[in-house]
This record gives sequence, structure tokens and C-alpha cells, in this order.
Amino acid sequence: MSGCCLVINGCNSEQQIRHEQFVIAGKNLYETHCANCHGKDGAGLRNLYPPLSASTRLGETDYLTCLIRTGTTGKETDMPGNKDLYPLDIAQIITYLNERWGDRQMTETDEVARVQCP
Amino acid sequence: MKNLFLFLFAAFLLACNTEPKELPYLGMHEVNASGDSVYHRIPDFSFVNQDGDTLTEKFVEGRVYIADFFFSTCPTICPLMKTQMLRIHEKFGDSLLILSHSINPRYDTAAVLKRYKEKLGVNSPQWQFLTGTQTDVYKLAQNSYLTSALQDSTAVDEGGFIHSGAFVLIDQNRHIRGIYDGTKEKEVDKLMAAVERLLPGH
Repeated sequence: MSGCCLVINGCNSEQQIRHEQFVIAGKNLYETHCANCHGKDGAGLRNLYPPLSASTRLGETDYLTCLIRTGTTGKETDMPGNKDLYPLDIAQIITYLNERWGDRQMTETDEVARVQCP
Repeated sequence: MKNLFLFLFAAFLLACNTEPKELPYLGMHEVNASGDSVYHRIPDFSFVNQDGDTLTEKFVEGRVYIADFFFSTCPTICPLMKTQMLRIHEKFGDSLLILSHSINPRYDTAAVLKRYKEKLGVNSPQWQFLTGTQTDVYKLAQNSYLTSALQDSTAVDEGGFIHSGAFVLIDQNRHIRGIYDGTKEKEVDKLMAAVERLLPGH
């Protein structure tokens, strides 16, 4: 019984460490690629840049992946794409966004890599 | 107790000493016809504002103002500059004029600037968004305001322009009294302290 618990705990903490690594790396990436417009605090800037802290779509990995990768036009302000980011980078950013303002636990690199953007 | 007084007195003296007597006059000092040295002065200018109206040096006559250079589609330092400029605008309100010049005037037409101003939530006539010809705005930035707004083809991903992020403080006589990094909160704090000295009891 105690052996079983140890194993589970071991798994949990390994996963937890990985999650923390994603959050820390994601924070750096966020501050480099996103925070100029969306703000370090995610508050955005008036009606020019939307607040990520109020987003209801942080759980939608496909949507976020394509938004980060290819940007968007036709909303309040055009958002440039980030074509140089690897799936790992995007997974870390999405994990960080959820750590701050969403509910999704962890976004894995694989989940991002298999997204096909139009 | 006596030590405390001495300490306070010393601190008071130090505080006085760190306060510069007068804001500097920046730029080349020229010599006029009668041989007197005169400060660099912002020359006359003419641009089109967000409402499509012509705006000239008459608008800033006798007023303290800040000039900066940006463009509406800039994804890098412009949002930081505008966040800081909003702080300044909210603090000084109508006492201080702001001239934000687009360095991408071909894209930033009056209509684009009008929308930008609205989205920024600014409806005061004290903060003007200006467009004109590329040549005019670059000449103005480099020669008049001593700040760089050079087009850089290598920085296309950054928005196609490289620029300094400077906020230039101009006094009532069109002399430059300070240049501050408009992307940094602490620098902008210094700028606001300088504005207060030019506008006592604003």
C-alpha cells in the first residue's frame, strides 16, 4: 500500500516539476512576445489590445495555437503571427496563460504540434 | 535625539543638492546675428491631425508639450510608450499638450489615427495624433527633436521601423528641456517631475 502511494506521489511530483518548468519558461516567452501589447498583468490596453486575463478561451488549445502562430486580422487591432516559435514554446506560453488566468492544467508540446492552422 | 536632528539636517542638505537648479537646454546652441548664443528651438511645422485638420506650431504657442514618434501597427515598443503617455495625460490633463507623430504616415492616415485615438480612449484635443509626409516627419524627428525615427529595412518583422521610444519635453518657448525613454516607467516619472517644474501649480 505504502509502495503504491510512493509511486503515485513520485509521478505527481515529476509532473508537477514539469508543469512548473513550463510555467517559468512560458512566463519568459510571454514577456518577450506578448506582454508589450497585452501587458505583463494581462490587462491589455484600453480598446487597442484585449485583456487576456478576461479571456474565456484559454482552454482551447487549437484556437490559441493558431492565434499565436499566425496572428489575426479584422479584430480591434491586427495581431502579428509568431512564426519563429516552436510547438514547445507555444505549449509553454499556453500553460503559463492558464496558470495565470485559466483553468487548464498543462498543455503538452504534442497537443500543439498536431494542430493544423488554416 | 541630537544625532537624529543632525541626520535630518544632512538629509535635507543632500536632498537640496541633488535637485538641479534648472532643467537643461538641449540641442546645438546657435549664434544669432548680434553674436549672442541662442538655444536650439523647434522650427515651424505643419502636419495633419486625426481629424484631417492642419496643425502648425501655432497650436503649441506658449505651451509646454511632449512630442513622440510611433506608428499604429507597431507591435514592439509603441504599446509601452502609449501606456506611459496615458499616465502622463491623466496626470496633467489640459495643462500639457502631447503631439504623437506617426513615422508610418503612408499607412497611418487621419482616419486610421482617429480610430487609434478612440480605441486608446482619448477624447481630449490636448493630445494630437499627427501624420504628414515621410520626409517631413523624419526630418522633424532627427533635426528638430534630436530623436531617431529612421526606417530600417532589416527590422521588417518588428514592424518595419526602428525608432527610439523617446519622449521629448518642450517648454513654452519651443526649447527642448529633456529627452526621456518613453518605454520605462522610472524615466517617465522623471519626465513628470520635469513637467511640474515647467508648469508650477498646473
